[in-house]
Amino acid sequence: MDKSEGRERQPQGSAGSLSVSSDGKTGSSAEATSGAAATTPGSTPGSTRSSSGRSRTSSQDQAKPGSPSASASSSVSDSQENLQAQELKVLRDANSKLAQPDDPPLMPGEKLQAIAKDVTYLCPFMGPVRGVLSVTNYKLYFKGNNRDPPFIVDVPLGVVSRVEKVGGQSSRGENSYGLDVFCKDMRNLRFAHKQENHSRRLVFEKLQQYAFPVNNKLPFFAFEYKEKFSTNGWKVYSPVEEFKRLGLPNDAWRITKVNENYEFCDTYPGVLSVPKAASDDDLRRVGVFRSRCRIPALSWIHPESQATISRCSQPLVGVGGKRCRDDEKYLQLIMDANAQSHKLYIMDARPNVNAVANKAKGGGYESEDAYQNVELVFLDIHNIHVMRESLRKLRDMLYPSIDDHHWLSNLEATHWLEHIKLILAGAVRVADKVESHKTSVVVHCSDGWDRTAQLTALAMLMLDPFYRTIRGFELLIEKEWISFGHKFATRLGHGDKNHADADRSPVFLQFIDCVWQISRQFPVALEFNEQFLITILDHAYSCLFGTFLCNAEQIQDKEGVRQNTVSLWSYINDRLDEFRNPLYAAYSHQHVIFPVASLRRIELWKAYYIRWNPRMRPQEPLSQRNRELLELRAQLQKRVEELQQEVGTKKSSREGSPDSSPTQAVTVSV
Amino acid sequence: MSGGFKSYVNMNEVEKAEPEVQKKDVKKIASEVFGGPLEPKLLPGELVIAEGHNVLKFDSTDDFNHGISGALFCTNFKISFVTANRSSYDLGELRQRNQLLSEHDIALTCVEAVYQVWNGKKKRLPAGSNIQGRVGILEIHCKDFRILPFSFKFTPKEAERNVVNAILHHAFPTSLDLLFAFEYNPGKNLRIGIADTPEFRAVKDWERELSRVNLSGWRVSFANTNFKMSDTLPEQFIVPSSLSDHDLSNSSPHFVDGRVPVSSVSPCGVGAIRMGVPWFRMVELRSDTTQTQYLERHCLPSTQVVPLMPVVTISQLACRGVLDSMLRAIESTHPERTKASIIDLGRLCPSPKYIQQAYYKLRDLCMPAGAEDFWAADQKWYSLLDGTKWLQCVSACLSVSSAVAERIAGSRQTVVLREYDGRDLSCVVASLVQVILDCHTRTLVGFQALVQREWVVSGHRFTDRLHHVHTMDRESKESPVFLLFLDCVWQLLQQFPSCFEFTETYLTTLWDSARVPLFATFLFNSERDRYVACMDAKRDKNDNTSPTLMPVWDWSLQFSDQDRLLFNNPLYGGKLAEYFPEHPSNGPTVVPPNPTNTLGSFKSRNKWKSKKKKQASASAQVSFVAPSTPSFNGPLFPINIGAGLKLWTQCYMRWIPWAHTVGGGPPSEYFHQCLLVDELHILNMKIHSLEMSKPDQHNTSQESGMFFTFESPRGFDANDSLTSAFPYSPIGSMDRKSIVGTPLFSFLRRMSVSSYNGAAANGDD
Repeated sequence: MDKSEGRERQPQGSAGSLSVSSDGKTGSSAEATSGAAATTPGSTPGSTRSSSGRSRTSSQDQAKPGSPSASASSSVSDSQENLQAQELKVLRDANSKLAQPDDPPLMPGEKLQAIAKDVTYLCPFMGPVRGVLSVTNYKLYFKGNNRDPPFIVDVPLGVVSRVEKVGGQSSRGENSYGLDVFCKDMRNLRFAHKQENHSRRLVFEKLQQYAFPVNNKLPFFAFEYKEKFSTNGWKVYSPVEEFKRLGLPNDAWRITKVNENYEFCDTYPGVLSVPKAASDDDLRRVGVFRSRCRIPALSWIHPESQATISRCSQPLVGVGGKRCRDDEKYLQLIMDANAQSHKLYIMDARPNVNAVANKAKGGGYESEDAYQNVELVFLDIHNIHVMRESLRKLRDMLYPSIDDHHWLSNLEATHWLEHIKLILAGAVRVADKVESHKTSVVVHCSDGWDRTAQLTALAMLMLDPFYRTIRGFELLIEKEWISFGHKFATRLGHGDKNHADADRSPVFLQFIDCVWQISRQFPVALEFNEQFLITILDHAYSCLFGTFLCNAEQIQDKEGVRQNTVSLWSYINDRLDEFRNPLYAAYSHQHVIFPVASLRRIELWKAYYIRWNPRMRPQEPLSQRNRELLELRAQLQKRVEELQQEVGTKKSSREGSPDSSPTQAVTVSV
Repeated sequence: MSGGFKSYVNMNEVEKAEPEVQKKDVKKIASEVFGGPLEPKLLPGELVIAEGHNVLKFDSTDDFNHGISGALFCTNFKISFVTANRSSYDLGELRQRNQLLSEHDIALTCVEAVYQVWNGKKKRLPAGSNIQGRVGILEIHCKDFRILPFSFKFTPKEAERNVVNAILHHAFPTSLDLLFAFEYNPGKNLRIGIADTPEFRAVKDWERELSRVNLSGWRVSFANTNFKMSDTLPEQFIVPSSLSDHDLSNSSPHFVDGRVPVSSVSPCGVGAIRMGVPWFRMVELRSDTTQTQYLERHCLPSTQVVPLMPVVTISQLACRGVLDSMLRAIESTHPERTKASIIDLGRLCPSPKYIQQAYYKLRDLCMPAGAEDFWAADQKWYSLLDGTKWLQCVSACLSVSSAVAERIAGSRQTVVLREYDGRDLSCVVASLVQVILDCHTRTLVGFQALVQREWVVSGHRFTDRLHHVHTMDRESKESPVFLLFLDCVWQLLQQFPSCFEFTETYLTTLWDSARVPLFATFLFNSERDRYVACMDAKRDKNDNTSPTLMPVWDWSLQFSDQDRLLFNNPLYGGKLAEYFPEHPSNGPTVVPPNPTNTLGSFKSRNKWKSKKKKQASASAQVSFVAPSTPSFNGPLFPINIGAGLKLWTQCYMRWIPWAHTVGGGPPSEYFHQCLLVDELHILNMKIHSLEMSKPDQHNTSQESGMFFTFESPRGFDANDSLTSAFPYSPIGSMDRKSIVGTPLFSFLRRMSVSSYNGAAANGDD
């Protein structure tokens, strides 16, 4: 190869992957973005994918799958304009034959439903912007007129919680007639229409129709989405293989198929691990005493001490203080399965008073008198209603403008960070009992699908380095959240216009926030970056992928979600480089990490909660700098190899060969 | 070495401040120390005043349950605890080791207060008092937020009383000449190298500065030679060429302390044009109204040097005339002769008194008495932090500075900073503006020159503001304006991690060094004070030699070559650009954002005094410009609203063990960045040698300048034992072996559970 050519090309290549990496939270580098648009073709694997029907250029193919994430994570800002400009330019070039320039870029399976010209977007940061508003069966898309680079707002309809008309035919004054769009991702949008254009009605109708498919007997867009990915994300998690990784079944634990057809418990996974000494009949008898049959089942087992984390729902103690011998015996079996300790901790995630109050409704908590050698601990994490209210306060404080006066006191008044602290503290306690005391822990709250999932998943993340990798974390979510029946559809309110539903709550958001806090305290311990977490949250709402669509595994099965929708992990695993933490050091942190659950070390996740505000974007993101260093290293390594080949293989240099350097182990392929 | 004081091994070490010696294994020295009797390491000129043996040093994390035994010494430089317990030398590799002060030493000027703990109650021991009976437990609170408790349970009563009284007397000197800087006697063979940092005491330093920024129309003025014009200005300073020294001398009586406007200059690189736009520091005109208003507002009496001036009555007209002619001369230096804008810092920035109050509250917050206290405060942490108002001070200084920088670089206006006496907030703003605009000040040497020029010789009252000398009117003088400045720089460093040559460890170390009485840099209120103090000391000495006043900039006195590497920022774009010209951050210079942006926030900042609420929505409407990735040498415009600022945890929380992340925190990121840059360096050298087609001539002598490297022994297992408090307190517990154990256990033991009112008790999930 010609030497100079080789040198020429390298920086370019680097700019390409660098731009892909540029955090969506910031995505501010204009140069980097242009690099992306210019060099993406061929720089990412799988660019030769073909999509249904239409023939496309590979660059379009690249840009399109990128658009859901980019659009969901970053659009209302002019600093974002550059990014979108480039993206759009690519799209426009490719689409020019097919569509009008004002039409939104469409993904496979996406159809334009309504388009309204001469609409004004009232941007809280930049003031009014005039342009074209369109609605598809997946997204709301606004493009400003005559702006270079174009101003774009792109909102997946799954994010919309409510649409309201503002003003009537008689409304006077500029921008007083239009639509308010309230979103689930910490922003609200207002569009002003012109009365004489009569454009509002159609937009409103289509928004109502496609943002709330449940009320309109329409399928979710996830079932229409026809994008093909080279990896199949549905294969990320196989319960049996995961149990095998944990060394199960073993002498003390077996794998049962008692719930194979979800007849035993319709909110539990089909495959469970339970103490070997408990027969399926025993399980059924225990199930009678546990709310919704959610019996204690194993989540994680310590590879050395055999101490376990199990999860369940509350016992049905009731006001009368009922007891159940089978349940007591069953917990004894869990304790006995761990020879290292003659004790068992039951971590009740709720505050004590809440647990007592549940007795009135037939629930309650284990009494230490009834259960031998059991210690019951309340972790004081509040219920979904308290959390929802807390997030509402936080959002009022942050959007559209930040109330900077007494910023920290106001932040404290939302209690959001305090809730995060309590969840983290609870998870640290669980992990500490298992790791430091070699004692098994049973975790439950009321139903065992909200706070319990937060605690077990976080404790497992602290204990097991596998869950700190990208694939491990995907598996953790599939296992502890999806298969154990966290009610994603209900908690996030997918496709349902009942925005005031009291069952909605940001439980999953809190979990991801806690993971982000851990990533702040241990910057090199997690393989994934902030963008990975933001992408997961965005697509938990977007309904583009089937991953977070249902309330339980059983419903997933019934609806054929795995067969008929794409998994978020397919999308993510196709572009892992975007989601890698450049400084991830797999070789260190092979042990437990204990975050400090003190508010001094817990901070607001600005890149998520305040991301719509362009004033708050870091101008020089650290992750980008880190990635550049890796880029440089890759370039230099290549150069060294080239030169070494040139010099010939006569001498094998001994001193400080970079190939033997320990960071090789963590080299991210760039 | 005259007198009967004890000297010890390390005296030689300091004298031979050569790299080879410093690289000597610390452990070897340690074992030498442990071989003999317990004695403190003494510097030349240092004397032991009192000593007590069998003293227990407690761990503040432990509620006085465990202690290490040793001897406590009080010298004329420090309080030194010497222990035979070897555990403190384990893991030592991972600490910044000060060669003057070891782990259990406290410089006398660093002592904030001394408490007696008796039956669980704390009683403050007054400075200079004499203790008759037993003390029991003595708690020393330091100005760097450390708390060191000692128990004299097993110490002879006599010795206990001697040590405590010595501490109470010598930690609170009543005049400056009692400080160790005047005693220090390094001998003749000490090389004073200050590593290229100009001190601005010689004309050539000023001239070099003028030529660096490439300005014409300016000159160095000698009007203040022998401090004949102003007691607080340096002997030389920069003024417009159109002003003669005669003009200056004539107008000086009209300014407070005779401080005529002096200029700070810096180039603002916009593309290829290097155009210097000057700005000025000006004090208020001396008139009755301003002075009394000022005094009312700030409750600040005049300085020690200049007693409260009798009110000089100047007719309003004459006064106006002086100001106008001065302004005209200033404006004439601008190429377009635009009108100068006057920035009134007294109105826009917090006053020194305000900063002092904020600092006191911050200090209380960052010095929890124990785990109980820590977790109790954790509940209300954010509102408590808000209540200190410290971050508001930071925010105010940053916004004013960016607004000024914006006017200079964006609108190309000449700016005049006006403060009552031009010795506090104008130092902050003048130097921050230069950090924002001038990439040279973001290098280590450039930053040190900046501090020297804008703070030390410009007459910031270090003696008063840092409270070096114990006086009764402490409340009216002490104000850590300098710390506020360092905090602002730290915020910039957080927001622009690749634009500074130095690390946060450097900033923290600089702050620590301001309270080491050996160094004279941050000791005086003005250049004249320094001169006078030198003369006095010379007269008092028998041999009529001036004292050796050491500048802090000679870091080799304090730290080994190895430890000084902690100052190097692995991400610094300037360094990387040297290696790799195509490095992305070496791109074109960014044009500063639209003037309306910072001007907007500047206007809203005007409300500092009126404390008007809810201006948020208004400022949100201000249009802003897309933040583009800055290059390391471009101007930096920070996010300066409260939501964008952070608490400088390394500096303020490094001694609080419960707040430490074990095996993580920013240091683990720093660690990996260091290794990465070191690897880049190795690769680059390899390429270099390969290109020369002499593959075997691998030049290993050149080092990458990183603290952590591939070849260094502190290599890879280090990461596990790093804490977020690196490189200061290693693990923060007696039980250093169980690294993971301690903070967690104490956390679990103490974990307080929130009690919510108002939360519905129905646990319906």
